[in-house]
Amino acid sequence: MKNYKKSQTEIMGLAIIIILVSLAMLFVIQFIILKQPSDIKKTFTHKELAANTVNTLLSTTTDCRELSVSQLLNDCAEGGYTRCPVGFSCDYVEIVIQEILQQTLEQWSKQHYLTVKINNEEVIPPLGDPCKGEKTTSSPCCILPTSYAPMKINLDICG
Amino acid sequence: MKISKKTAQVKMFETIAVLVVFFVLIMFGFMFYTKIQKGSFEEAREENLILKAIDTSQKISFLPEFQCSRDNIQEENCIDMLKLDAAEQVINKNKLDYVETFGFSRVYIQEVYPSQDEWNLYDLPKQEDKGKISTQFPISLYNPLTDTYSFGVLFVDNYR
Amino acid sequence: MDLIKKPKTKAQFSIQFAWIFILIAGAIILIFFISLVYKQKEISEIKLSATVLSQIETILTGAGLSPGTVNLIDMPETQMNFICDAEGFSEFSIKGTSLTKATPVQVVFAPDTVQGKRLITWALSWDTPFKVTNFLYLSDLNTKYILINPNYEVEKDFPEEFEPSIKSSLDGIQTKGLNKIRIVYFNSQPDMLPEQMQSRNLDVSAIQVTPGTVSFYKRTKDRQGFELEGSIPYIDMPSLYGAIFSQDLTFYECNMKKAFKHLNHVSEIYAARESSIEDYFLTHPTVQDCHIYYHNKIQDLVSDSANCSQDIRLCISSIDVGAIKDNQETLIRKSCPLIY
Repeated sequence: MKNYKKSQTEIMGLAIIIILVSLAMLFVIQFIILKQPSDIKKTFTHKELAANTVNTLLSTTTDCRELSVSQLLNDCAEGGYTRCPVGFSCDYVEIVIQEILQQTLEQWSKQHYLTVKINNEEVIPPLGDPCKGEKTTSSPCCILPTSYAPMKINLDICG
Repeated sequence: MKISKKTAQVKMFETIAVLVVFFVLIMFGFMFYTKIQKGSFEEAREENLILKAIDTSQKISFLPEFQCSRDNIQEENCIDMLKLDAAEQVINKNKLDYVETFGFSRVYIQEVYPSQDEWNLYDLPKQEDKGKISTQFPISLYNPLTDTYSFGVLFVDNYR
Repeated sequence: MDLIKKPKTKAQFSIQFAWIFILIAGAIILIFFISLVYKQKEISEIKLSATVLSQIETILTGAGLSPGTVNLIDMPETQMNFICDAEGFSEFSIKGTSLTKATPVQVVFAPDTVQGKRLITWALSWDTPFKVTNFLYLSDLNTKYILINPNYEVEKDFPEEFEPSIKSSLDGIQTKGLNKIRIVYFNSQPDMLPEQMQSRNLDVSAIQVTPGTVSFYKRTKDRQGFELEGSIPYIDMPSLYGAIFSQDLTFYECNMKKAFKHLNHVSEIYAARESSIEDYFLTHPTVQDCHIYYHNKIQDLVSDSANCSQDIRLCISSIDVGAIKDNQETLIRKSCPLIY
């Protein structure tokens, strides 16, 4: 009887060791599988992309009297009376921005949403579609002073 | 006597079996650990490559070979178009001097608006083609002759 | 009697064998795990050094991009070795590891070893007259810079983060806790060293600055004075500071050659740019007649810098940026596109 109890105890011991090892391996596997891949590039490059796109866009010279996009947006905010090759400043600047975004962000399959607002009122219609999930914004970049109030140009890159 | 001999043998066998199982478990654990380490090394290598791509694109926009300046005051996020024309030749002529800066990568700039020009500044592929990581970087292109800015894109393709 | 003795002897034997077996098996297991731990320790140390090396590289790049700034960087207690030799081979490494980082392009003026928990970096833009590159100066808190009768400009510009001693003689200098001392004599000859600076464990060196020339001195074998290593011209303040921070003449010369090589590339680009502008205005004349104001003075800089990148002693006096600056001033007055 003593021998039986001894061997039972020993087998119990072995079983406990196996359970402990299995638990440890389970934790390790869980850690490895659930570990999120680093998205350092995505975060940094989307932020840089958004801010740089807006900055570069604003300084771009257009064919409308060699005014820059920022100057045309300013003019648009103040009534949009400047005549351009196509319509007035508001229409023309929208065309230029649309063209540039089509050849850049859209070609790189980056969903985006660009808004130009003064006191939450749109200066030109937004370009692109609002992001449904995660997004990276160009904010706090890109605020243009106007005679009314600061004009906020915001570009969201989705994903 | 016979019984105690057998008991001893069984006990020996039991001890050896425990040791064998123990070492087999250790071996499995070690193999598992090595595989995980290998995976994390690969991940670290990939991340380093991504960081290198970002690093290269940042360096380029600050290089005096390209950067816009007015009376030696540097303008951020801007590349001088006339410098680009000359830089294409100078960099390709002195490629070895730029390997440290650009590494195994392809660096080119495309004008998006108003015209569609392209400058191939640097290209040093690896012998084995294992793909590349591309980074796009919108940048202003300044023309000092007309004092105008175009919308350009700096492409940095880092070879794996 | 025999029957009783036999089992007892057998038991004694089996116990002994069991213990021997336990000892051997235990020893094998212990050795296995201890060697595993040591191997892991080695791997971790290499990993740490690689991380430190990579972070230092990033720091040096970042510091080099912000001219005019001084940074105090905390890092793990390591010793970094810097090499820039007569053949142009240039790298830095972490002591005790095989990890190195080549610096064939970066212009970094530093002592041969930098150690401790704090790294001091200073970056200055090198303009000749247009920006060419940033010079990076490195040191640590265990290195002392003693400036003997410095001129006003050096006294004003030398960063206080390096804790320089501005003095008229070497009297009263404390050397406790220092590994290196660099003495900079302005217009005076290096003199005999006080006793506390004659220690074998202290690396003491000197340079003498005279207008346009810097002379490097190393301590004599008896450690009481200095002997001349060599003299070399310098063209501006950033290169003078480079001489102050460089370990020796060879290190300084090697870095200046790198700088001139870069100047050669940049000036070639500017020369071509100027040429394009001139050609444009020849075919598109302006009211100000801009095309007559481009004199291609940068072309001389291209050839001079090419010579300097080979041997800076022969060419440095021929580097003339004044003509380019004058040309630029004229273009500003005439509202024509600038050379740089």
